[in-house]
Formats: sequence, structure tokens, C-alpha cells
Amino acid sequence: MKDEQYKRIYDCVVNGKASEAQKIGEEMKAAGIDSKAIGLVLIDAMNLVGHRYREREIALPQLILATHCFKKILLPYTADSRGSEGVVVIGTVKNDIHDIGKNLVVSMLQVYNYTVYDLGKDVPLEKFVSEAKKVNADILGAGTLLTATMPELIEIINMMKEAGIREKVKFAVGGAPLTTTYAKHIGADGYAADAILAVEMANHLKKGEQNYQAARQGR
Amino acid sequence: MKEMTSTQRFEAALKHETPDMVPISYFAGILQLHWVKDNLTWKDTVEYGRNGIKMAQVTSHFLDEVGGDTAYILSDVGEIVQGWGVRMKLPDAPDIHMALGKFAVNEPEDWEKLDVLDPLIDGRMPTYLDACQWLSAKYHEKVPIGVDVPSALTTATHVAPMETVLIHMLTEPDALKKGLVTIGKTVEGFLNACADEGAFYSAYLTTRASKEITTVDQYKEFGVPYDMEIFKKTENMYHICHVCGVEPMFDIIAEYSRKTKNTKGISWWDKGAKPNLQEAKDGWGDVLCLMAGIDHTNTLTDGTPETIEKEVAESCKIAMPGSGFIFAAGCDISPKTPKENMRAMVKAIRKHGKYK
Repeated sequence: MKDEQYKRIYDCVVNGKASEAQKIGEEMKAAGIDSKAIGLVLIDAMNLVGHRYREREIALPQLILATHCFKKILLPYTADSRGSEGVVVIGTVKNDIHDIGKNLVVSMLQVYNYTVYDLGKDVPLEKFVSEAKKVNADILGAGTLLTATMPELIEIINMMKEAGIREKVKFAVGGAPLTTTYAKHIGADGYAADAILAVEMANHLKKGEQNYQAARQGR
Repeated sequence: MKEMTSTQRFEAALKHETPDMVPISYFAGILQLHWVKDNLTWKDTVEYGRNGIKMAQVTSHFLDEVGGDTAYILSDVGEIVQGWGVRMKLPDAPDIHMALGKFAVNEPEDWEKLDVLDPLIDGRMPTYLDACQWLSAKYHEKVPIGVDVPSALTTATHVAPMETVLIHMLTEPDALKKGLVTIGKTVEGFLNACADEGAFYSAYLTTRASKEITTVDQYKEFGVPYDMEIFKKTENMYHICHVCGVEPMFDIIAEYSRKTKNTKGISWWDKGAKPNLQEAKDGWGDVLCLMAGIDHTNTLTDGTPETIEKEVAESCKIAMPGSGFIFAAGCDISPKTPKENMRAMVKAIRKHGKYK
């Protein structure tokens, strides 16, 4: 990828240039830039936006707009997705309405040919399990941004066992307060710290690996 | 000191006058339902939201059993916005309310299409007014009737998806502001109708006035003008601003208190947000009545009567001096909260919350 292409994608996300986003995605695709290269720039840009958000230089509107651009840039790539890599059921747990990170993961998985059933946010725990069973999921993903709702992830594992799908369906977790240590502690099969790593994790879990923790430094 | 009625106690706290004891309030919608009906089904949740008399009876039963000083009617967030065609989604489980389903505003031009609603006719506002009337008839003026009503900006995030509203703040500010004017007039009409039916105060849900959601400048542009207009035109009731977020904008809420006659308090999660109760008392305690005191995410759900009493005692010690303190949980109390913990909380407040 050329420098100017990198800068264009990066600038679009960081500065929330929503009207240009899809066009940029189309142009990049036409220029032969592959989805992984695009994804890495998008994650770089989202890391800066996330940093600015944490420092309260910006607030949720800018963060949401950046996410919106992220998804729009990926749209041309998502359109080609055949969903043949595997089936993922994903959602944010009950009593947690945060779904920005989860939405990024959904977009990236779709780009990488996964069929994704997005249950949304504030999802009753039973629904995670019933939907995974219904669609014959390979991976069940649950996210939480609240410390108060982290224990719900353990509940999901218990429900998967009760429903008899724990051995068949891999369970992956994500969300800002989670860590590799916590994911291991509760017995999740996978943890990913961001949307790119979520794809990497999904690929490993699909190959049958267990306890795959995809984290960057310090997590 | 002579024993006060709950209304006298509550009003004294709001005005920073000395009450006989610390008033107790709740956010306990679904918990109230669970209290009444242990084998709750989602149908009961829906019925609660659709029938004002049942809503009032549940509120009253809970208050009479648990104790406290307010009859606070907590509904789902749909009673106003259904009037604009927002559709509700039935709950999947009995321990959650109906949720917002299909939204009325999706495109920028939709904001302008909204009309000011009539609280006596539109949405489920009449249901809520029935509940106010029933409770008012039961308690007369001895117990303050409280309503929870979202601010104009919060209501906007119920008319349209939250993401859409936040994006429109940046990309379509003029269109969004047209919608906020209409929504503000509707909220104002609904609050006045609640006051006409006996509501004494509102928990005015300024839920977006938290720094992890909007910047201070964004809230000043999209929240403050509409809040101020509503406060000035609903002077027959008190307002306590409720902020769910973890970085509530205390300076803005304090300005509301300085500039209006009736906006006197703030309710927030003092055990998880910044500022905590001590910081709030030190920084804003002379301007705002602080409505807080116990952690609904931890102490109430998982604590013991002993840990609850300890937390109550600490909160009373911090916030009672100089009055301006209403004891409450930071937000909606979980239906998983054990009954004995609720009773322990009330008992502890009555023990540690006496003024001399």
C-alpha cells in the first residue's frame, strides 16, 4: 500500500469523513489492496480515535462516526463475502448496551468470509445459547464493556454445558475490561483485544485450537 | 425534632433545610414487579407498562412493604416515543422491560416531521398519568409522587437509534435541533400533565450529560438549551437530574440549580462514577441536593445486612451535614436484589439518618 493510500484511509476514519468512506473502500479494492492491509490501517486509525476518546479529547459522537467510516470503507469488501469460513453468533451481554467494539468485530469477520449472526446488545443469556444451537454455530462470541456484567460470561459457559453444546461450539470473549488472564480463568476458548485480532482468533479456533488468546502488548 | 411527612422530608432535603431524617427514594421498576409477583413472566412486564392502575398498585405495594419516602413510577422508555410511531419490542425474559424496537427517525429529514404530542392522547403517556392520579389519590400530599421522564436529548435517542443521534450531532446539527425543539415541547407538556395529576417531582433523565458520552461543549449545544426551556416551563414540580454515566457533568447540573427555581438535585452512581459522594459533597453539596448513597451493582445485590449498614452509615456521615441529601441507589435496582437486603438498607438509613 502506498503512503498516500494509507493516509487517505487513516484520515477518513480519524476525522470522520463519512461521505467519502465507501468511495475510498471501492477505490482501494479496485487498486487491488487486500482486505487485511485495509484492516490494519483501520485498526491503526481506530487506535488513535480510541486513545483520544480515553483522554476525553473527543466523545462518543466522534467515536461512533469513526466506527461508521470504518464499516463503510469495508463495505465493498464485505459484499464479496461468501460466509464460507464459518458461522459466528455474537452479541453484548444482558444489561450492557455497549456495542461499538462488537460491531467492528462483526464487520471484520464478514470481510473475512464468516457468516455472522449479530444478536445486538443487552442480549438475554439464554438467547446466545439458543441461537448458537439453532444456526449450528462454530463460534459463540460474547462481549461486555462493564465490570458489573463480566460474570455473565461464566453464566453463558454454564448454559452452553447445560444445552450440550459446550464441546461443539467454541466460546470467545472480548471487551475493554477483559484480559487474557480473565478469559483463561473463566474457561473461554478465545479472547481477542481488537477486531483484527478477533479474525485471527476465529481462524485459529476454527482449526480446532483451544484457549487462543489474541492480545497486544500488556493485555 | 417533630416527625415530618415523607413529602415534607423530601422537600426539606431538596431545599437544603433540615429534615427530621434522610429521605429514601428508589429506582426499582422491575424489582417492584418481582416483589409483587415472584413467578413473574414477561406478560406481567408488558401489562405493567400498559396499565396505569397496575403500575400504580405495584409501586404502592412495594413502598408499603419496603418502606421509603417516595412513590416513584418507573416505566420503560416508550411511553412518550410510541406517540411518534416508535415500536416496542416485547421482552425475552421477565427481568427486563419492553425495549425499543423500530425507530421513528432514521434520516435527517425525519426530525422535522415530528409533531408536538398531546400527553392526554398520544403514546402511553395517558397510562402514566393514570398511575400518577391513582397514587396521588392514595397518598394525598403525604408522599411525593415521582415520575421518570427523559430529557429532550435522551428522548431523541429513543426516537432514533443512539448512533444516529450522535452522528447527526456532527453531520446534521440543524436537522437534529429542529427535532429537539419538538421533543422538548412534548416533554414539557408531559411533565406539566404529570404535575396536574399530582406528581411532585421528576427524575429528569439527563443521561447523556456524562463526559464519556458527549463533550461538555456538545452537551451545551444539544442538551442545555432544551433542558433549560423545559425547567422554566414546568415550575409546578421539582426536578432531580439523573445521570447514568460514569463522568456526570456536575458543573452543568449545578448551573441548572442556580438558574432555575425547581431543578434542585442530582442522582448518579456515586459508588462507581467520578465524582464519588465525598467529592460531590465537597464540590457541589451547597448547590445541589445529592441523591445517592449505595451501590446497586454490588452492595445491594451481593452484600449482607452488615455490609449494607456499613455503606449506609458511611454515606450518611459524608452527605448529611448541611442537609441536601436523599438516600438512593445510583440507578435501577437489580431484580436479583434479595428482599432482606432492601429491608436492611431501609432499616440502616432510619438508624443512621436521623437529624438532631
